Amino acid sequence: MKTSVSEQFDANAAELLAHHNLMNAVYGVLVIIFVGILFYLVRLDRKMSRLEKNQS
Amino acid sequence: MNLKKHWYKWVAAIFLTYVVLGGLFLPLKPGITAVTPVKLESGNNISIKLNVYNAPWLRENASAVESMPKEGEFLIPAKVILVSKGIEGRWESQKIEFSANHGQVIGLFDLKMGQSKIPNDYYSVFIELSNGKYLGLPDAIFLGRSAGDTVGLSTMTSSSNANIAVEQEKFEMKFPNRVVLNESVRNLFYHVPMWFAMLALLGIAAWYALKYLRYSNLEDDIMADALIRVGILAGILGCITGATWARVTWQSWWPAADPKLNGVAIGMTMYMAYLLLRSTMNDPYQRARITSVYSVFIFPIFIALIVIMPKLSPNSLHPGSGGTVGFNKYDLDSTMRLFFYPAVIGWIALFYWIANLRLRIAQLNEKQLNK
Repeated sequence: MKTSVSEQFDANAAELLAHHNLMNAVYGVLVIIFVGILFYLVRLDRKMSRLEKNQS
Repeated sequence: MNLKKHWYKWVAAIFLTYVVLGGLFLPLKPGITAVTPVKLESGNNISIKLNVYNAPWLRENASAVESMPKEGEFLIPAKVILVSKGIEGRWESQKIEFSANHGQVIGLFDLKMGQSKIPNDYYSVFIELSNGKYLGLPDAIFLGRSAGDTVGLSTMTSSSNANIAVEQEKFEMKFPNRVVLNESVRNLFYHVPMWFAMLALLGIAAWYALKYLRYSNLEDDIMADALIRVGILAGILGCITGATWARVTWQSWWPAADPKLNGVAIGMTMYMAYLLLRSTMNDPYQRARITSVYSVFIFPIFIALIVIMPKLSPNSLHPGSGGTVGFNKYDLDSTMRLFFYPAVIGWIALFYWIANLRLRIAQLNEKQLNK
């Protein structure tokens, strides 16, 4: 079987695209948002604890 | 809980649950994701391989299907068609092959140009389904004339291409399958509302800053500060999620030529400077007056940098700016709208809620300092 370089390249590109599931980008984005918000909430929590300590 | 006082918390909880669940689990419409080869020379017995994502003829349990699905039973591909914008007429496949357990379609063509004056050109590829609808990939194949193809008649059919272009899609509770974006189109509900939330919070902050300058009430200044800090959080999350999305679709973490990204970089720096400015002053009244003036001034500049400038620029990758169309024109179909608007409202409500927590902590802090 004879295949040219460009045909090989096309086949590889198609294969890549077929297996390239962009759903991971969606999960990634959601994880980043929740980790980011959680991080901020933990910081607020610490601030709150410090205030409570000062009060007593 | 007092519903009247905490309504935005309920809005955040309900809308975001709906948006996250719907945004993750609603399927995508079928679409062609790849074509091979992408460059062709005319001739006969040419096979074109198409990869179809979420193909409507796929079976859950392929081994249970003994024979190919029959017409009428399920949607199956009927024909592969090549159409060029500038050329009247189309190439139609003579035979197609497909399988019930994967989304690959192979179209066999007899592409002879013969004596007809058909120019070399880019062609869009369509799959005609058994119900007469089409799946398409624009400008996917370049077709040129082979050296020996100069005699005889052309095999191009002369039927009109108009009905392919105006094909109306029926409303389906599925997200559109866009070239390049594919599944990541769902990020519209998570990345874009970060910026809406940031703009909303910074806008309300500017209003509170104005209110402080008018009435000199320190409560307003503390509110504005809490809103700006949480607004910056939303902006940072918008940047990181945007970079993640850009990596898989635009092939770069930070496409530097995009005016929206540059505008955001400058705008975020201005708000970082706000934090710095605020931390340098101890007298609450002086601090409040100076930072209020500053934040009232930078908000319109920020709007100009991230909303107006990219719209004027001819080369932004973001939708709605320059050469690209806005979400309201083609990209945002009715299913996307059903999730996008609740997403914007829900995320704004959630960040406002966080800003409210920040405010209450700052108020407590202020009370302790005054003791």
